[in-house]
Amino acid sequence: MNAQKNMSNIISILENRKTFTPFYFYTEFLPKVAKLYGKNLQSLIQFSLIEENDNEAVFGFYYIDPISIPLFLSLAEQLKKFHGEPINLLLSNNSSTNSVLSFLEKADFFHIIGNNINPIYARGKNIFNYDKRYLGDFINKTQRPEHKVRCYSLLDDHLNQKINELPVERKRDFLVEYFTYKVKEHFAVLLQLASKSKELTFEYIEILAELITNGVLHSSSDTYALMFANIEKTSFSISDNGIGLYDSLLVKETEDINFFYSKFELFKELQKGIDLKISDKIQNSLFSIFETLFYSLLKDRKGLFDLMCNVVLNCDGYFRLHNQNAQIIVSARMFEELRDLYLLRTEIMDTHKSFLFEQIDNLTFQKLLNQLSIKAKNKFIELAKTIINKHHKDVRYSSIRLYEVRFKGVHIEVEIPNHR
Amino acid sequence: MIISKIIREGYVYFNLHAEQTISSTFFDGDVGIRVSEIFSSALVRIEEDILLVEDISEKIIYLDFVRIDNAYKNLNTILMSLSKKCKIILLLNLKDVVYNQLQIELISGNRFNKRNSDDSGYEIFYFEKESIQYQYVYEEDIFQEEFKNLIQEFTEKNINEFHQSSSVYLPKYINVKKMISKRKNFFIFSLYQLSIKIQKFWLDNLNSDNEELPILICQNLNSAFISSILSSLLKLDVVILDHLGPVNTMYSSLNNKIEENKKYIIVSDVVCLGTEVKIAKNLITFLGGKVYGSVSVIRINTLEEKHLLEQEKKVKTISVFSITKENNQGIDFEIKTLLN
Repeated sequence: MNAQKNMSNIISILENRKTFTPFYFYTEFLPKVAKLYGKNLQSLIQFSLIEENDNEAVFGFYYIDPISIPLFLSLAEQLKKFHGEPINLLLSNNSSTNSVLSFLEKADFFHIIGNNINPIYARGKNIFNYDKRYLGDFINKTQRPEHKVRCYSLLDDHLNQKINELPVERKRDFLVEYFTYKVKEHFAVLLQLASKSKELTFEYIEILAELITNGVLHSSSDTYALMFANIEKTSFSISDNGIGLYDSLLVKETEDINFFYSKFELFKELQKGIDLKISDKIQNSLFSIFETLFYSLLKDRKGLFDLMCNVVLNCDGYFRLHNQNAQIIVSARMFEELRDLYLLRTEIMDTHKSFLFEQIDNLTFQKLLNQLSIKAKNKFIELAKTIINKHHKDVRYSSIRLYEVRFKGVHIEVEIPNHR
Repeated sequence: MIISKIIREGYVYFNLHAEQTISSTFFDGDVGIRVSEIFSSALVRIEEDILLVEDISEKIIYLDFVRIDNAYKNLNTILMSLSKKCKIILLLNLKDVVYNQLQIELISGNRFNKRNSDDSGYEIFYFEKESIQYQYVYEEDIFQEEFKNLIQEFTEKNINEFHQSSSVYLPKYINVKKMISKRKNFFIFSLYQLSIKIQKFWLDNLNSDNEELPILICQNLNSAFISSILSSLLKLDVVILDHLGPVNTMYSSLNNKIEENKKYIIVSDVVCLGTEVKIAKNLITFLGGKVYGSVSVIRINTLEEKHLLEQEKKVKTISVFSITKENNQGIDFEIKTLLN
């Protein structure tokens, strides 16, 4: 282990016999980091790969769930920005950490966190200082190297300039197309392994490209993405450290908002009708998630809401969305409520299409859509109340998780079982 | 840039796969003709381009979805906007998957919509519920017709010139250089068509993923231009052998370029009597390389079918347009000697 250890400011990433999962990240790791900052940190925070020293670690078992890497990177980048300099990462290479270290190296983790400028590998973001001598002498049998973590940004390929002049929806289309090619290139091996048909492959590509586009476009920050596939499931993890959903809606230009939606209308209703008995910041984080999904449900273009329904209703999967202090876990457990909303969504889309294909006039269209918008808002309020009531009854089986510690940005994980 | 536009009296034809191939190059997609989905960028370019077509509001637009397997969502708005600028849009070779992704079921139901033979989609789909019947346009037919027009436009008289490598007189000469500079977009569409053929007849038949891909070999300036486009569309490497023909030259540095046991595809603009292809083949073989075949944009068929097949056994050849006895009328290409 590195000699620079000063125990008071060090956070260990991996704990013996405890897999570093997204759940672990939100419930244990993040509070650990926040606690350190709460103590009025005297010197710069440091991370160590494991807590134990080499002698203690010999019989240890350390494992990182690949889909939690984007979350960790997102957090680390925020801390680096906060301190204005790279953070120390203390490594350890012994018989029990060798495999996890080897995986992280093959997943491009060390290229991204370091200062790599070799174009063959992912460009370094200079997030961590680490001692490269710890990397090497890896055993061969390890986690699959195809699970590479990727970093996407509007600064890549001058995307910022290219989309600058485009109207809002064209910006989105442009980025989705751009990221579709990137996803195909970056995740080709996994896509081939994970999907059984051309249509399914396209579905996975579309999901990833959409989520990355959402990340870079709305957050105005770097977005980390990773795809994971094993025999049971295919997972995607997309994490940004941007402004979050509330601010993202706040900055939305008024001309992008339609007659059938006014900014924060559901949010305000939820504020009036639901008392969560928690701090405003947590409540706002949760209500912003509902607001974003509500807006997406009303639009004439397919977006986040459709993607979520596709994952849960059509693919039997899980959709987890974390925003600042709150997370919503959408799964088959919410099937009934979600199906109702999905039917409403179909009705809304049909109304948009009827207007587009000139089957109804503008007046009828406005009337119908206003009615549907009210119906959808009430359904969402109903859904929010049901979810929150269940949360009050039993936190363990709740579809929402509320965190005291704010983790900046939007973080999405999608899991799709392969048996379908 | 739009490459596949073919204007006829009454209609304009666009090949969406060809256009998306160009879009993917712009997006640095690195897929070439292996692109299989359609995005908004290609349709937006078409929408902008048709404004330049005279009397577009009186014309039919054919959008050919051949080779398109998936469509990005939210394209129906662009299609609708496009349909308002012309007489009617007719979608050709539309697979059911793509039809569903386009979300155009509300305008389905035209009685002239025709399903394809294996019932996997529509051969022709009318982007309007009611209309009169229009003809189906075959990609190959319309392309061949347009290419013949192109050859006619760029064939020049070539008096007193003899063909340096074959000892014959060619009273007419196809000016490919001029063709490239004056009709660049359509010429690229021709190379796209050539790539589709190469992929279908050769590359798709390579035994496995591990089998090494052939390398394109070009021998003059025109063929270098053609090879560079083919290389981008097919993702194949290129080797340049400058000035291999028609004038015989001393070659001093060839063995640096040809690698032993590697497969090569000889690229030409026009194959007339095939002498340059033979020279290239001999050189490549002598240096240890293997000739996979030869490709050209234009080929002059001087032999009968059975003799052509015999010749194919020596070097397989693919071209995008062949001048034959049947279609030579109007082009009037001739090969002469003093004896006739």
